[in-house]
This record gives sequence, C-alpha cells and structure tokens, in this order.
Amino acid sequence: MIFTLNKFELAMKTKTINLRNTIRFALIFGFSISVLAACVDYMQGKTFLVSDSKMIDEYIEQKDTSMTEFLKIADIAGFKGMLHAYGTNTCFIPTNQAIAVYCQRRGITNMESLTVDELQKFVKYHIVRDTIQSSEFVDGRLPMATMLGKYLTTKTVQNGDSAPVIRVNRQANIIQKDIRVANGIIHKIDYVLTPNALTVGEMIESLPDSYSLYKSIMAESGVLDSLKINNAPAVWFTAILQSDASFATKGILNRDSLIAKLKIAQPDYANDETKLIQMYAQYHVIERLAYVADLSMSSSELTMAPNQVITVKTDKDSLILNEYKSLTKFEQGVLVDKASDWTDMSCSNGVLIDLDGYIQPVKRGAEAVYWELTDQPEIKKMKEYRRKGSWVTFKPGDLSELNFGGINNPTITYNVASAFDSKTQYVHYDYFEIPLRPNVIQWMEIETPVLTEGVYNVWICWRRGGNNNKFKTTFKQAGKDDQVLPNVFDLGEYFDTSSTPEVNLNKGMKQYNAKQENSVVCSRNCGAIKVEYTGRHILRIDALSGNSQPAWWDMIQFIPVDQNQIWPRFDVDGNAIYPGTDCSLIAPTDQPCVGDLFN
Amino acid sequence: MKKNIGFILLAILTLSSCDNWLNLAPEDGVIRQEFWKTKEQVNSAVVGCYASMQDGPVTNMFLWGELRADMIDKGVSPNNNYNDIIDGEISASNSVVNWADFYQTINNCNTVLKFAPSVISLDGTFTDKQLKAYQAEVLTIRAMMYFYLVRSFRDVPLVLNASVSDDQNFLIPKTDGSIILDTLVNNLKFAATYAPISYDTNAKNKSRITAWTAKTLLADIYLWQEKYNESLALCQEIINSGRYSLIPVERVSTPVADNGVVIDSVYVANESDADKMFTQTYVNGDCIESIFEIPFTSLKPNPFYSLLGPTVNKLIPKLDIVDGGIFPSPVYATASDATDIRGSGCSYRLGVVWKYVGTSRSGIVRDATNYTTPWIVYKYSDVLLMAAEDLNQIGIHLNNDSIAQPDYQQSISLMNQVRTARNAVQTSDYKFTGTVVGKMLEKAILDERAREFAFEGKRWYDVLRYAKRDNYGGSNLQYLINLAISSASPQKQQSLIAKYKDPRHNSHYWPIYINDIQTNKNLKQNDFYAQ
Repeated sequence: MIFTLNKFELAMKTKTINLRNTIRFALIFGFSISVLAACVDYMQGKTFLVSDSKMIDEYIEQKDTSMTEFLKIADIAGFKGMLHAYGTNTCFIPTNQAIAVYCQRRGITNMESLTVDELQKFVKYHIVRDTIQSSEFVDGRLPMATMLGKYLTTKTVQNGDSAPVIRVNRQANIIQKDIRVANGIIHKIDYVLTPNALTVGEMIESLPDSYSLYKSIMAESGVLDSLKINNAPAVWFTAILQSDASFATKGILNRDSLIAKLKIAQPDYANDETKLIQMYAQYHVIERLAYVADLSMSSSELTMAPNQVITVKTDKDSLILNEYKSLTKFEQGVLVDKASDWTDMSCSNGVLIDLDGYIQPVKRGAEAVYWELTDQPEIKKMKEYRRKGSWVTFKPGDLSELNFGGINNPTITYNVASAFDSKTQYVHYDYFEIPLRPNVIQWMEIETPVLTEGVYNVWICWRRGGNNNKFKTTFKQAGKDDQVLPNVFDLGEYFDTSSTPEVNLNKGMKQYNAKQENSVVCSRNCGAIKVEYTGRHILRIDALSGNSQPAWWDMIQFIPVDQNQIWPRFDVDGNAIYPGTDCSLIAPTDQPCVGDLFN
Repeated sequence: MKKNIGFILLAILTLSSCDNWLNLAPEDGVIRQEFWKTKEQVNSAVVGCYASMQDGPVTNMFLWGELRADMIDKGVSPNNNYNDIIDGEISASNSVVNWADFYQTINNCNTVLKFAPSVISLDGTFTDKQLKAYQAEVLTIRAMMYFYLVRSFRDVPLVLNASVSDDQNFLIPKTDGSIILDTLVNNLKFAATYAPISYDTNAKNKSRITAWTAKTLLADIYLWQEKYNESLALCQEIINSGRYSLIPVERVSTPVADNGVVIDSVYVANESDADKMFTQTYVNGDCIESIFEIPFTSLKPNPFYSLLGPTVNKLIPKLDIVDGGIFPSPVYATASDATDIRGSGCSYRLGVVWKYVGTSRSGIVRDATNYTTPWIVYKYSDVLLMAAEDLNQIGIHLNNDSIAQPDYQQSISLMNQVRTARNAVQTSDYKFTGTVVGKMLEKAILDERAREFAFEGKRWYDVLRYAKRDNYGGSNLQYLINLAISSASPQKQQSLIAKYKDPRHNSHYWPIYINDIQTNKNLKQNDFYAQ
C-alpha cells in the first residue's frame, strides 16, 4: 500500500480520507507510531489523497495467485524488480495452468529447467513498456512492441457458440482484461505467448492449397529461399500473399495465364519468363515489417523488385493497394483482406499480408507524392500523433528520418492544433515548429518518402513566420551528385491572396490548403530535382539568415514537373481536393470557404 | 480488499462525523406529512415527474439511441466516454451507461402512485376520475422509462414501490426484461383507459400524457415483443382518431429530360412548406404531428448545446454515411432540387445536427441560451411506420411474397404517406413492382425510419429490434453487422463485428454501471462485460 501526497493522484485510483484520529490512520496504513507522531500535527484536519493500488507483483501475490508462476519466472529472469518499481507496463500474464500446459508441450517438468536467457526472452515477450488498455486495441498489432522487440497482435473474435473474446497473437484469449495496478495494466491470458518460430518463407510453404499458384511462383523465383533467412531484427520481410481466388479476380488460373498477364504489364521483359516470374515474386515482398497498422500510415512501400513500389491508400474502412488516381485516369485498387487468417500473421522474420485481389509490378513514370513532414515513424507511434491539442518536443537524434543540428539547444516541436482556424489549416492539424536560423537550428536532413524516377518540383508548405529566415535546399541521392535547388527560400514570406493562382504560380507560390485562402498559409516551389532511381532520398536544408521567431512546417510535396502543380489542394482531414469540389465536402465541413475553388 | 477498506472507512467516517444524527427526525416523514394533502399537490408531484425527464433522461435517450448507431460521429471537443462507445469499446465504467436518471423519474412516479390515493380522503374535491387520470399519466411515464431501460439493458431491477423510507431494501436484483415488458403492457392498458383524451391547451396535449401517448407507447412495446396484430390495432386506432396528421408539403412534378427527351419526372418540394415543417416541428414545437414531446424553454434549455452546438460539439453527424447514404442523393444530377426535406437543411447542415441547432432550414444557428427544440418521443409518422412494419411482418409470416398481398399493399401505402409528405428521393429501393419480397420491404421501412427519426434517439433501437426479430432468425443479425461496418473505425471493425456475433447477444445491451454493481451486491453484471 502506498501513501502519497497528491503526487500519484492522477495515475491511480484514489480515495479521499479525512484524517481525524490517529487510530484509524494506523489501522489503515500500518504506519509506525513514531512516523505518525511526527506528522500528525500538520496533517490534523486536512484532506489527503491516498492510494491502495498495488504493484504488479503485489497484485499477483496478494490478489490473484493464479498468476504466481509467471512471477516466479520473472524473478529468476531478473524482472521482479521491474515489476515492483513504478513504471508504465502492460503485462500479458499467462495463468499457472497455461504455463503448466506450455511446459508439458515443451516436454519439460517446469520452467526452472530453462536457461535464464530463455526465461528472459519468455518474460520480455509478455511485457510492453507502455500502458495499453483493451479499449486502445485495434484489429492488428499493438501500438508498441514488446520488450523483446516483437509486436503482439490483438483482435476480438467470436467462434461457434462461445462469447466473443479478445485474442492475443492468435495464441491466447484474454480471460481478465484491464486489471489496473500502480505500475501498469495486467491482461490475464489463458495461453503462453510465443513468437512464431517459422520464417516468412516457411510460413508461405505451409499455406493451404488455396494458395497453390502463389506458393509455386514464390518457390520457382527463388524469392522463397530469401524469405527463409532470418536476420531479424536487422532485416524484416513483409510478404504480400495472393490466394488462387485473388488471382482468379483477374482471370489468372495458372502459371501460363500469369505469364501472359505479366508480359503485357512489363513489355520490356516479354521474352524473359524467368525475369517476369522473379519480378512478380519480388514485387510481393516489402523489406520491412509492415503490419496493417503500419501500411495504413504509409503512402507507398518499396518492394524487393528494383524500382517498383506498392502504393497504399487508407479509406474509411479499408486499406487499398495500388489505387492510382490522377486528374486524367483512375485505376481501381486492391483491398487488403483484413479478415483473412493470414493478414498480420507474425513470423520470426516478418509478417504476412493477404489481399482480396491481384497486384503486379507496373511500369509507371514519376508520381506525385504529397507528404506530411510530420509523419515521422517515431511520431506515428506516439499517443500524441494527430491528437488535437498535443505537443511533443524533439532533440537532435530523436527522429530517425529527420535529423538536425545547431547551437543553443535546438529542438523541433511536433504540435497538433486544437481546433480549426484560418491560420492553422495544417493537414491533419499537425505541424512542426522549427526555429530554423543560424543561431538555433542550422541544418536539417530529411529522408523523403519513396520517389519514383523522374523530375519533380519540390514544394514546401508552411505557415509563414519570422523575418528574413532564409535557407537553401539540397537534394541528395546515394551514389549521385548533390543537386542544389535554385530557389533561396524565405520563411517570412506572405502568400499574395490578391493575385490569381497563375500569377502566383509564376512567382513560385501556390495555395496548398483547401478550405480558406490565407496570406500566412503558403506553399513555395524550391525548384526541380531529378530523381535518378526510385527510392528514399535526402533533402538537406541549410539556414542562411534570420534571427527571429520560428516558422511552422506542414507538408513537402514532390510533383512531377509535367503534372498540375496547383491541384489537388488538401483539407485538414488530409483529403485531396480537386477543382470544383463543393465547399461542404471540404473539411471542416462546417466552415465556409475563402478563395477560389475552381482554378 | 480495496472495497472492504472503503466500507470500513465509510462506516467510521459516518459514525464519527455525525455526532447528533440520532436526534434528527427522518427527513422523508417530515415532507410527507406536510405534502400530499390536496389535489393541487398531487398535480404538482405529477408535473415533477415530467420535469425530472428533462434533465438526465433526455440526454440518455439521445446518447443511447445514437452513439451505438451509424449516424453520429466524434465531434470537435472530444469526449472519451462517447468516443469509446462510437469505437465499440463499451465498459461498465463508462458513465454514459449510468441509469440513475431513469430511476429517479421512476421513483418520482412510484411516489405519486403510493401517496396520491390517500389524498382522496383529505381533499373532498379530488375525484376518483382525477386520481385515475394522474395514475395513468405516471404509469405511462414509468413505462416509458422502463421501456428505454429494457431495450438498453434487457434485464434491469423492476422497482414498482417508492423508496420513501430508510428501512426499505434497495438491493434489488434484476428482473427478466420480458417479464418487465408484460408488466408495462398491463400498466399501459390501464393508462390507455384512464388517461385524459385531451387537455385544455394544445401545449398540454403534446407535453402531457394522453390516452394516445399510452396507446402509442403500448404499440411500440407490442412491436418490440413482436405482437404485430396487437400493435397494428392500436396504431389504427390512433390513425383513425384523426387527432394527428402530417404537415402538408406541396410538391411540383418536374420532368427530367435526356437529350431533349423526357425520360422521367421527379418531385421538388416547396421550400417554404419544407421550412414550415422544420420550424413547426423543431423550432416552435407542439406541432400537429407530435404525440408526446418533452418541451424546453430558454429558461430550461435542452442538453444539445454542449452535445451538438457548432462551437463546442462533442458529436457531429457522420456525413459520409448520412449524406448520400441514408439520405440518397437526387436520382438525376440535373434535377438536384428533388431532395428529401428531412435531409440537408433539416437533419444536418454546416456539419452539425441541424434540427437541434438551426433556427430555420437556411437560417442561422441558435444562440447558446436558446436551445429549445423539444425532445420528440413520439410523432404521428412513428405510428404510420410502426403500422407499416406490423403489416410487413404479418405479411412475411404469411409467406406470400406477391405484390397483391394486401398486407404489403397497406404497408407500402402507409410508408408512402410519410415519404410523400417528406418528398423522399424515389430510389429504386422504393419502386415496388411485381413481386414484393417481404425482406426488401422490411429494409425499406428501416431506412425510412432512419430518415424520419434522424438523430431523434431511435436508430440503435430500430436496428436492434430488426436484428433480434424471430430470435435473431434468418440473417437478421446482419442488420447489426452492417451497422458495425458503417459505424466502427476501420481498425476496430472486425472486432466490433465479432462482438455483435455474441451467441447470447449480451453484447447488444449495455453493461450495468460500475457504481451500481459495487453498491448493490444483488445485481449481476451482464455476462459480456463481467470479468
């Protein structure tokens, strides 16, 4: 039992106790009389908040002894201290019976016969260092990996006559959820969680016959062998599956009809069947760990096939791959089959994703990328991500794909506006506050999203701020010469709302936000870059002058030079808005539009 | 145990902090002796029952009927309790499921039922007829409260006695929902006989219980019980009474031409008539359609400013489902004025639930202090559509899917009365020709109800009634699954569908609020939420 002076009142369930007599005090808290005597005077007649919450280990020992085996293992593995210390943990704790079953299955008499290293891995796989209530579970992986560095998945399922249950990792059911203790949350489970020992390649081999064509193509191409190599966590694979049924949606019934289809898609290799098979197989592998939750935050994924990407779009209730939309053409995308038994199946070196339809490598030219700079991988994992009114500050090195440096404690702050305002029309309301000037942040190196080969204009979309805050931009690709972009940028610049879009475009400026034209919400063209090969590259920014306030950065757009530079604009919900869209469909729908919606 | 320590503490604190409690006369006794002497006092106690509905129950009737359904979405000011329910994450600690306000009104009714009869002997001018009328009123209010509880929780404690003294047993266990409904049916039969046919003012006719209110509620309960003939008989009685009608809206037939050739015609509603429907129903209140509504004034405004108002809205219409979905777009893009008058400009506009926020179809939003839209519990269109549903079900059970089937014909004609008055968009779902498949008509009526009672706290109960019909027979559960697909966020969708597939259907009902479970050890939590 913990006695606190208001400190933990927010974190824990608390009781208000009016301290009147020492006997009651002693009865409740078991404090020694000497301590009491010392503080009874100033405590007299006051109200204190106390907590009777227990730590994870105390809870198990005192309240629910059906989980003591796990505690015993944690003790041997050296985790008892952690379970007893303050912290934020989510523990998926198997019952004693579940552990007994596990021992039986492994053919051991008890867990003590395992090595300390094995036990450590065992414990680590059951603990996430964050508090995750069941209401935060989604259909898929948890927002944070376990201490073992591997993700657990959750999903509510209902089978036969039984009541719906939350299933963890397709292995265990939660039998008691959301047990709140002082240092985290316990979810009691009925089966031990073990990482899948099979590699992605081995999992593919074990797929049922309804995946026969896919299995044979993956094997023939040799890609299957690569997927059996386990170099996790250095190398991860995500395999995109195709069932025979999904092939059939495009009339592909066997290897021959697949080859025929691929010959049309890849005319350059029409005479090279081996190459086509290999391209197809490589196109179905992403070389990173991408659960549905990860895909839904991505706009494109580089595949193992050279220079070939899979584009990803999140719709209200679905995840669509390879939908292609430009002002002139529309290609129907293919849905990720979220209900499939195989989607989000964790493997020792990756994960599987199953599709409703057929995808193939396509020969495509440059494609516009409308990128939110704030979509940094570290930020996407945070609870504050796109949560209105939140802010988080980052030091150099905190963000793996946005590095920066300078003097006087340079920091970048991730902000999410709390409400719509004409001057804060950031896409998804989030933006970076960046004090880019020679006496704070002197340089930034930004890793771009995947860019396909071609020539692009680079548009920076920001809310103006400061005075004479100028910088220059350099585009860097490994193995190629650096390209210094022609335009020196001034973050203090205003958008000229009195000129037509064409006049502004000639001056290198445009309105990128959809709802309300505003002189402080700007987008400027830094100049053109040539992407020599498809991939992720670096945009470097060097501060040249300025000494006043920061500016607020929202998007960076890479638009092929031969495409429309002005449209689409973006609304605060992230929707691409095309000319002539009705104002009532532009988020926030309750706000009037300002400016021209047509050209 | 945490709880035990709490009890000990409570006991000690209570004992030590009230040194002279033994000297106090019981508070309830004092009030009772001074009250309950004249018929005026009985009347004010009855009025108190109505007033108690204005606070908590109206908020809950809205939230319970909409949050789990597909027409409402998270608004600008996040409310975690609401958002969790919208996500399908319902728990016993979510205060939205607190039923205390309903039981407060129930207790007020029970108090009237207990003490009003004794006033007869004290006040010579208080007649037996008046007494029965008052009893009918509060029995109906109580039945209304219980009907909400049963539809939301299925089994709840059935408290029929006033809690007026300290020595009563407050730890009452749950009663099976079907038994509660049978009790309500009996109460309402009494109420339908003895409640006033009408009052001296129109306002009272709308906001006090009449025999027609009791009959409408009874018809609704019969419909829930799947007693279609009984429900239909009552609906027909109300329709034939001639007391209610739909607000007339003039429509102009407009030809639709394609390359100069007339291919069809559509109706365009007269805008001023449409505006009349809006202002009479949702601005002025007490309209000709209204059977029973809970009125609000600027002194006692409704709860919708903080729930739905444009600046502080916690909830907004789910436009991707409502606009163009539940309210279909005009059939021909060239005749874009041929719209449903209940859609944009009535149910929703400017991204808010307009019927509680707007001052007219195209006007400005209300002042924060002027949220006076009545809460309409029953209106005439409800009776028409209930009758249509009764006839549809009677027809389905006859197993004769022919257009000539008289039950279907009558059902369609009743539904079309509503559709014509509201200028509903003539989509192909509503062009019944040749064979009318009963299930198609069933779906059509449900969709019509979604439009007619948009944001009026009925959607979830309608879908649940459709799903549970014939003990979830056939593919009826699909009604709920479709609701999950259009209401849940994509990341939660599969899980919510799995929850709705609960074979014991417990997940279709609310959990009992945690405080009630902790203080009443005789209450058993709904199994789905018990862990």
